[in-house]
Amino acid sequence: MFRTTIFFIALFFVSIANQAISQDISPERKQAIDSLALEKVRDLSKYISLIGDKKTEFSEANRVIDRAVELFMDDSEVGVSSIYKPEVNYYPVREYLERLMRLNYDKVDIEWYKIQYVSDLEKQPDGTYVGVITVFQKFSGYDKEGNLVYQDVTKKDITVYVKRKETQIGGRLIGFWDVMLGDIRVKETAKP
Amino acid sequence: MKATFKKISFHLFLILFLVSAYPVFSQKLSSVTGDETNLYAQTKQVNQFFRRFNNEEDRFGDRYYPGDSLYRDNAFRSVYLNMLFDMQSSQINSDLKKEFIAQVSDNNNPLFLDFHSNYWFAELSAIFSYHGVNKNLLLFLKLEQENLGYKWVLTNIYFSEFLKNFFKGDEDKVEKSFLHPMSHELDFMNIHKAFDNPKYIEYYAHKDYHPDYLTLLFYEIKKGEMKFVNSGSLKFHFFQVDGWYFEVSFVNRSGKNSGWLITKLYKISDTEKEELIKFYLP
Amino acid sequence: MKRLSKNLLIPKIVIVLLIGAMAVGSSGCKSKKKLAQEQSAAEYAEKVQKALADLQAILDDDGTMPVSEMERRLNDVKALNLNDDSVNEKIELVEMKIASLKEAWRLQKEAEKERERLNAELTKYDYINEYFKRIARTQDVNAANGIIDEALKMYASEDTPVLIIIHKDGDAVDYDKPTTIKNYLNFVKDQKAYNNKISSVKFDPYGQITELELIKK
Repeated sequence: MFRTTIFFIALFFVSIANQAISQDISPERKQAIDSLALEKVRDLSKYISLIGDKKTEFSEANRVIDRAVELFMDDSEVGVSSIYKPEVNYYPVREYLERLMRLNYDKVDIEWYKIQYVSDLEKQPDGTYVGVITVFQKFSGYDKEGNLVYQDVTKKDITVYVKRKETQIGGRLIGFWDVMLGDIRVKETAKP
Repeated sequence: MKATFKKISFHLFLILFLVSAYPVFSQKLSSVTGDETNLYAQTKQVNQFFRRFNNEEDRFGDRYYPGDSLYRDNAFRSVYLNMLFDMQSSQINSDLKKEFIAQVSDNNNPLFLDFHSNYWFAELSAIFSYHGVNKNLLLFLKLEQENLGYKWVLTNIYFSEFLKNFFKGDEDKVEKSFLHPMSHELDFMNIHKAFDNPKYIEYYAHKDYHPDYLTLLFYEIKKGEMKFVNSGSLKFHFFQVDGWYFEVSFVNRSGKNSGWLITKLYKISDTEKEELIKFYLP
Repeated sequence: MKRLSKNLLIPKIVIVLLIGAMAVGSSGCKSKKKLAQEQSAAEYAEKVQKALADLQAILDDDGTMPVSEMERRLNDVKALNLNDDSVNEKIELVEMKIASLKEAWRLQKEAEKERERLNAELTKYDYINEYFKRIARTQDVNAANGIIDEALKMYASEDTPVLIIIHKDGDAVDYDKPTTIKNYLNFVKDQKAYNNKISSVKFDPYGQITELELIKK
């Protein structure tokens, strides 16, 4: 039995700036788009948990980093500040995730608060919609003896770009919503 | 003015509503961590500050829409607007606060904040290296419409190194810093006086002359004399309520009264307002 | 049934009266021929009444009489060839009733078939869904990778497109960004969740999947 690839997919992404979330769109449809945006943030949070988890094998963590990076627009950065060092340190997304993977703790716990806040989607000059989703994360690092050696709670404001695009698949024109993540501002907060 | 404001804000809100994001609380992030009451209470985004100010969402962040009974409800606003003030700020007079809340939530003439309106500015503190030395300066920005949407644009900067070079002359010397009205007859042979002492050059300019600090910043950066190092704290200046100025900044502390809150409130006259706005948008 | 006997009862009285009247009217000198005529007229009248009663019974039936029985009785009446206007009128009514009952029955059968078809459709792709579910609940990465390799054999290629419908309103369909089966299987593994169901599947002549369309639950 030989395996044949019948369909070669060519994803021709045609962006249609004007055709974003038009005004006569139903509330249900808008909600579906918002849920999609929120889902990407949830996907990212899951990837972050996996990357941070010391039990995740090195090769696996690297693959997850690749998948996580795919969620982002090129050149997206993570801007980090702490309560005592308010100036922002910038990391390219990949570097941020790799640092997370290499953190020198014996055990790391990454927990996400249930709360999430979704901003309006505002149009930028090129017609792409941009919004910010805010989530909160608790990070705990433990040493060999299992003692908690570091803990912080961070507010993560994540940029979300939403754009209507079209592509040909199997001779069919598929209209889809391209949701990409952008810069992330990570700010340490006073423990809630 | 207020009426047009309201009208514009309503139309813009409609557009805003049509493209807006719904908070979807049915789908939560995976793990659970402790009591989140304070996080719900915190005004987490400036966007949320607007919605809360206008009573466009409930206390759990679920949105109200035009037609909902509590959408922009002034009775609610008159009670809950109080929560949008930094309770620990010494710069907010409680009587003034009451007066302000009563005014904006007045059922006959309520005032709602408008994201797309011109009358608010961002102030971002930043560090630039200037001739190799790190210096603090302030960047002012506003929202501007372009093509299909909006963007934040720089309007002005505040940098003491620039400021100290302008209009800081000694009174008696300033009085003598001019080219007499018959200079032209001498082919302006006296023009060198304007440029001899750099401290007084600007006094030789016309009376409406104002130094453009933003241009200076761009020029210094282009010349390589200045370099962006880092940005710091952020606050917003609001002039959308007639007769009032207030500042909104992020209060990073635990407890319910946290996040983006009103940290300063002043009553201002129209002239003061004009002057202040000129500072942010020269 | 009560109604039926009542209906039968009334015509009998009418028949008796009619016969009585005829008898009264025709008293006097009667020829044999006349007598025979009278007899056949009475028989005819009785047949008409019986036919009307039978037809009425069909019309009055509230669902206890099978359609086949209705048809049988109708044919019996028709076979009498009574050629009576009132009977013909009722025949027409009965025919209409039978036709509508048959149509309703046909529709019901069709609906049942459709339900069965949908059920079959739902379970038809269970074997595809099962892989996603298994991968989602497998904690061990290597074990999950094993299932992924196994699942991939069902697809024409690792690059088989996977489309995910996020919203559907009539013809307007919104999709998430298209992905490939390999990426999607890994995605399910990483997220440890499978929250979609199968909307449609395309196969190649070898029975391998060439396109998978999912829909958000």
